[in-house]
Amino acid sequence: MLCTIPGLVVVVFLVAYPVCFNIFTSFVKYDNVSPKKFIALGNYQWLLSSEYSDFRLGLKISTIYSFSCATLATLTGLVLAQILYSIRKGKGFFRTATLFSWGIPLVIASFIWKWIFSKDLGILNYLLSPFIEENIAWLTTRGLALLTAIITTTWHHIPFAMIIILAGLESIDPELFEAAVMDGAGYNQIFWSIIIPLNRHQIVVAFTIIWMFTFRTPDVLFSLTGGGPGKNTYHLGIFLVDMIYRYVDFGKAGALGVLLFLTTAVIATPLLYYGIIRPSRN
Amino acid sequence: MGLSDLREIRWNRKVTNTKKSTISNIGKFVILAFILLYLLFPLYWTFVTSFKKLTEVLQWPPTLIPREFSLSAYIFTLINSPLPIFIFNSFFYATCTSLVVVIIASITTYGLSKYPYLGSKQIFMAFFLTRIIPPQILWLPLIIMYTRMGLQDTRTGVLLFLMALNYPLCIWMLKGLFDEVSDSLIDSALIDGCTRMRILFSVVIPITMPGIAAITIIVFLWSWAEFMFTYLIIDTETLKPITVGIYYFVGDQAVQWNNMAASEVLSLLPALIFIILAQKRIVRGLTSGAVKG
Repeated sequence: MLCTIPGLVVVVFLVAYPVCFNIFTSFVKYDNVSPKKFIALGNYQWLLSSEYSDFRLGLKISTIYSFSCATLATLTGLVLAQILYSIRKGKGFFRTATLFSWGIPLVIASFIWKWIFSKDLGILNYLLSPFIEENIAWLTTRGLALLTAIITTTWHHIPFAMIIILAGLESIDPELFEAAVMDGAGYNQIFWSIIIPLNRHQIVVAFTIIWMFTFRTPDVLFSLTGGGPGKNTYHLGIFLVDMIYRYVDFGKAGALGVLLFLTTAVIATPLLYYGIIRPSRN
Repeated sequence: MGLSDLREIRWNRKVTNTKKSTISNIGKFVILAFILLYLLFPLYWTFVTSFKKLTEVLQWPPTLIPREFSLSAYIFTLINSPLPIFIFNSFFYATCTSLVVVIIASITTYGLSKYPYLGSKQIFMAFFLTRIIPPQILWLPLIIMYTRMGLQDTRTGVLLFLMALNYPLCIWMLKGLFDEVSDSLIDSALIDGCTRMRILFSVVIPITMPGIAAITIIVFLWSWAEFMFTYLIIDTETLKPITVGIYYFVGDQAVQWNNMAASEVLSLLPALIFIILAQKRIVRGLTSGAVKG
């Protein structure tokens, strides 16, 4: 029991206390200009009313961004996991090669892709040059900017989805496949009646973890497009940074943090419960 | 029928229909090639760019293979820029965090996993739930606390945040590992007169060493990748890790992409090396952390 103490100290001082402090701040007018004052839900009201804040915009962009990344990464990961599962030769090589992008920091990944997407010198425009009339400004065109961010982030997360789903595939008893093939099941049948049902937990977990991560982490958007053009890629995380450092309004930043937490918790908790906690009890 | 044959069969609609199986095999490799291109081309392109001269980088059309192989970007980044300091800082942050976190988390997980008491399951659950708490909610309170405590713009500040972030995740990964150590082994060590702490360091940790090494690597890579919070609290150039320091190469004018690429290569080398050396173990560590309860 004593063993838990060093850990609890870390968690209480560096996670629990700050979170409580943050919640407390969110009910206070705290902007380094006027004296601190308790204003109950005033900060939340300000955030949720669309006239003054970018909250709704950020929420919309974060939602589109995170759901696209999580879906694309999970689907690609599923396909990749199945291919890697069936490969006999060069198993280790392919598994290593597909893992690299997971290990690369998101900021570094953003700069790598920024160079690929570059308008005047980018390799992507060069490769597309037979099909397009003039170079596309990927990073500064409305709509395309978010797409570039999604491509970059998905690139980073595919290996993670692949690893989790592959582990699930490998835990399926091969005799099941044998029996299915003996009974004359086609590949589609095997996929829909064995692979998907037996792997549903892994698929949900991969999706949820990637979704959670992309919903709240603005690293890619911050360094790839900086929220621009205009506010076309204005992620909630960037909004939070602006709140703390540009507007120095801690009360509202606190409220934003709490809202970010609540949104994640409401969506992710049931999914994680379904994917991790329930299966581990059986 | 061997296991690998069965895997092969999965891809064929019928065992006897060989024609179809070649088609599906080709399809499989085309898809694999596309995904590999997507995953690996950016890395190739970064390596290639880092060996080009600035004049070649600024030319249109871009060359897929450097016309003139040059180390000028590496010489610039390693000698004329503060990049070595950034890399040293990243190493410092990541090494300290991973070692300290893994040691503390081993002790915690050992206690929770091997000597369960009333509420230990709930504590595990609590650690798991911290995963749902966005690290972003910690930014503001930690910045205010740091300002009051004088930790703003210090190494300690960065380290504390990294530890708080990685510690619960590490516990979750270690749990899968420690649960596999058999209780009878611990019992026999107890009978031989080992103290419980001694058992941790001379029985449990040595047995699970490969797994612990992998978890240390994972925590190392996660700490290496941390960006936003460090970006917010660190102003001093000499304290920046590489993820923050790379902004040095984003000048007021055009970015010198060959120097940028060289610094990218240097900053992704640890990940590359660790993944090549310990791919299997990393995969196992990640899956036990994410899936197993």
